[in-house]
Amino acid sequence: MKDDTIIAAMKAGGREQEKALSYIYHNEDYRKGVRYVVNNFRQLRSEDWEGIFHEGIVHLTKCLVMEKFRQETSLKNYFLGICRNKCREMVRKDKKTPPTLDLPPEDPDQVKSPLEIMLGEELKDMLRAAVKMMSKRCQEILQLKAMSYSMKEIAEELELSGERVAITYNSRCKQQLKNKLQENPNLLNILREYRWI
Amino acid sequence: MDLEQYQETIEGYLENSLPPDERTLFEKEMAHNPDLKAEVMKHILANEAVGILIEDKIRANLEKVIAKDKAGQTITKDKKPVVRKLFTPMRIAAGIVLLITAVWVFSQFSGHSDNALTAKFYQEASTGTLLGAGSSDVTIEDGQTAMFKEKDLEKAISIFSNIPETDPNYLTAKYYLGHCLLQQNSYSEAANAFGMVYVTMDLPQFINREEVNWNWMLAKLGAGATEEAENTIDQILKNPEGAYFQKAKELEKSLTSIWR
Repeated sequence: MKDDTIIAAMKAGGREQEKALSYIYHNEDYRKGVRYVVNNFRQLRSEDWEGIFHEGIVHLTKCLVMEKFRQETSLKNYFLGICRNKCREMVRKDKKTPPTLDLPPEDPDQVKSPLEIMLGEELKDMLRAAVKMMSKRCQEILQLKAMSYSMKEIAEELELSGERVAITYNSRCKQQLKNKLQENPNLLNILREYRWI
Repeated sequence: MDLEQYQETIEGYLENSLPPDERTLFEKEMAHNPDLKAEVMKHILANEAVGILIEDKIRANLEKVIAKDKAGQTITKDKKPVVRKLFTPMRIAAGIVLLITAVWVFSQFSGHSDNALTAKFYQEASTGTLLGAGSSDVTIEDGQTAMFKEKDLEKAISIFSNIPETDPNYLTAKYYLGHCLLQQNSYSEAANAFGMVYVTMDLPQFINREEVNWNWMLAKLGAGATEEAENTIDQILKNPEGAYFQKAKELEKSLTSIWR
């Protein structure tokens, strides 16, 4: 399977995405590569490779879906870069070093926000809860927007009457989500703790 | 401050699509405007929240793949179960065959045990005229009634055992006692009783010495005195005209069987 085919399948979602995921999951080159990357981290155990491999696939797919992969390198190298960062995160977690927002991205090819680095499971759960509180339609619009769909494409995909309607929906949904996030005092506390607000 | 007008710029900033000079300008503004910074943060959080939603879906899809892979391993293992499925009836069949074999072997072994042979070749007691009543409270007739009519061997043994030596039917009592004990699998006592009868010169007429000898031999066999029993068989086999010659041949065959 060529990189372009994988990328297209990943973006398509559903069964196509499942096929692409299955391809990478079973690809011995990808597996060997991750084992090699993990072995280069003395702090990690060789059996950690599988967890890194799974998380790496999820992250890679997310980057592909959200069009963060700029195709400046091969998909496999990009994936191994992700896995390398996952290893660093794991080592950092083991050391219990508090994440900082100033933490430089180790791999410049990786599109990884400081917030993403900072995000612990607790914070993720808060965000997940907030987004799940929204209507299905809003969730779909925001997802498609995050997947770099144009407003015209979103309108077509969700059978809206036109691009303008999609823009309005998107704006409302985004605002709705921001309000929901703002309503969560725990979330705000965490952000204050890290001096983000 | 109206943050509404900043929405597109914030999106552009976060998507890295702002021209460099606009980006620099926006960052400077953000540094001096906490409300704008907070708004950007909210945008980031909202994007992250959507990203988590997407990630959850991807993870669910990957989990499906992993589950299928494991199921595939199960299928590979399932191929074994397919074989296993084949094996199961085979196992059952083998189990049944084994069971039958075990039962057969057991029956063969048990059929050829000393006890089994003793029971198989047992020769029933004869009855005949008694020699008149004795002086004891219990009479041999009571024993005969218990033995032949009531089929109460315990009672018969009790009666025959208590017939005193002075009783004219003492030997007959011993003879019947031997039979009762043999049927009760009390081989040693039966052997003693039959032995006593056999060695007595003057036996009542109805008691066949060859039969006593035969049952004595069986009692010895049952008691584990196999060698003595075999000697008796050898003696019987020396006389083809004897009443127990055929039985002795059969017994010998059983005694030399591989199942013993």
